[in-house]
Amino acid sequence: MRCKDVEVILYDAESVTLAETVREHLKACPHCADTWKELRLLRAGFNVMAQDPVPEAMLGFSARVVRRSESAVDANRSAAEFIERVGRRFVLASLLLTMSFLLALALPSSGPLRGPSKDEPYIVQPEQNLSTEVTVLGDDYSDTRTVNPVKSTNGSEQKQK
Amino acid sequence: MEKPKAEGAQEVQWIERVQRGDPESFAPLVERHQRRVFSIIYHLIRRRDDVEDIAQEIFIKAFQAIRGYNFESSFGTWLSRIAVNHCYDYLRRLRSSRVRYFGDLSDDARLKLEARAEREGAESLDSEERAALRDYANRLMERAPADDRVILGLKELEDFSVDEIADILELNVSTVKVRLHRARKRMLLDVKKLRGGQ
Repeated sequence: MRCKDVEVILYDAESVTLAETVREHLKACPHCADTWKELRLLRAGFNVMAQDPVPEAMLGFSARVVRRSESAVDANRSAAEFIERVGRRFVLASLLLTMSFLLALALPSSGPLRGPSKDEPYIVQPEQNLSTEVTVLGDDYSDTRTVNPVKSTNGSEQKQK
Repeated sequence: MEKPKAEGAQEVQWIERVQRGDPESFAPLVERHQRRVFSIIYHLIRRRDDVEDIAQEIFIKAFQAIRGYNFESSFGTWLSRIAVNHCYDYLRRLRSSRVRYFGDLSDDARLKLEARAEREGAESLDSEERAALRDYANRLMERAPADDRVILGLKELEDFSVDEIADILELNVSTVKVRLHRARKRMLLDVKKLRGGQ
């Protein structure tokens, strides 16, 4: 037998009992014999490890697990509810904003809500009318001028044109 | 080993109740499977003090995932799968933050142990020899990559069959055999390399 074939058998061996041909090979091949020894040592170590007593659950373990599972589920549920609530408000706010924006776009650019437009001549422009009135009346009727009271030296007030 | 039929039917009822939202029915499931979960954790992680905490995390994970359990595999296998995956993640996290020194057996002790283990088996060893042997295998396991450690732990320590390991790890039987072969080979190469370096 070749070393390669023997190695496969050794690594996969479920028990320490080997076929006669393999045993013959091990007698003649120190390398494979060494591998077998190491494998057996390792397996013996595993056997000892496997026999170690496994720690036992402490009293009330299952009750603790159920309690923690419930609180974990509650925590997840509250987190989900919080996200849902915040999400719902965010969606509502976004909807309101979008509606307002769309409403603003849809409204005419002038009107009672927007104020006067240049294209609407029937609405009186106060500044323009004032200047027109001055032009029509002329300087002779300039009683709209501002008259500033002047204080005389003797205390009586005089009107100055 | 198959569970008696009545016991299985009872278990199905508990599972269905938990799936419908009755958390109290999870307690008997925990009680029934805790030994198996503790054993898997202990054999794969080897940290006695951490076993209960890790077991709690595993059962909570199972509780949260139980609605997805569809009775395709047995509940024990499904739970073992969660346990093994959890241990696997734990080992990977642990490995990234740990450097271990390999303390091998002395040559004399090794030869003596080899001879005795070969002649009489591990059962005949005295407590000191057993401790040395345990330490030897334990250190090798701790040095092994997480994949190797999990598959060797399930086979050599948990004594699962290749078929059961395939079921738990959701792999083909042939893949499990190949992985076991490679894991043993890597472990032995590690021993030889370290002995050569000493």
